[in-house]
Amino acid sequence: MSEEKSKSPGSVRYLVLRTTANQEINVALMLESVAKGIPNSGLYSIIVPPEIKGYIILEAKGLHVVNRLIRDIKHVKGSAIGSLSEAEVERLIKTVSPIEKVRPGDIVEIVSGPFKGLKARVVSVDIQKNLVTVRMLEASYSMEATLPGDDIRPEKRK
Amino acid sequence: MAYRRKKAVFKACTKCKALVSLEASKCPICGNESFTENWSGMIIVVDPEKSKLAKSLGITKPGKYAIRLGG
Repeated sequence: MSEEKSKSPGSVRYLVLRTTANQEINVALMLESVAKGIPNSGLYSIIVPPEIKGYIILEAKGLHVVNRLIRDIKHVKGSAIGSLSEAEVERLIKTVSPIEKVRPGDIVEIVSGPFKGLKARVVSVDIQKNLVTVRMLEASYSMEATLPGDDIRPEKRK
Repeated sequence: MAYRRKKAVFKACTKCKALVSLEASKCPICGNESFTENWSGMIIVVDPEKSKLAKSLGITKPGKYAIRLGG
């Protein structure tokens, strides 16, 4: 008798779990360690969305899996509520900051600070420090400035 | 009043976005030696074979990954 496990591709659900604000990462780490202790736990991934406080998303086989895992975990508020579609979750996790998009030579627009509204050419990008060095295009003399990565908006590729 | 920034527990690899402890000197996923503490959002992949999100992000090894680099 062959024992083949049937894999149903549509059996993944994205469930939203409410947590105490600012404890999202701790809850996710605790859930990970609980899931690792159970073979075939049914939990596939845990998402802590950026800029959303008090909620985490769990990619799991079903609601019963999540309810079993969260039983004794601190900072979890209530049981899993609602589910999201795959497209909605992908929109949350496929966000890239402007600094990841720019390369030296690109034209960017400065969106805040004293140079707001000016166009500039990127000279160097430091992802580690979240800083971009740019050369102003609209200045009468060559002027370089180092700005935070969030102050620019990519305009044109090199 | 001075803004108190939360201390990061992990740092993110600038190449593959894997999150490692602050003491690590080499990324265990890609071997890169460049890291940043400016990251936000986290995805913990428990089962990369069954996770659809891990596949869409191109993650093949279980572990913790940052969603955004640079604040």
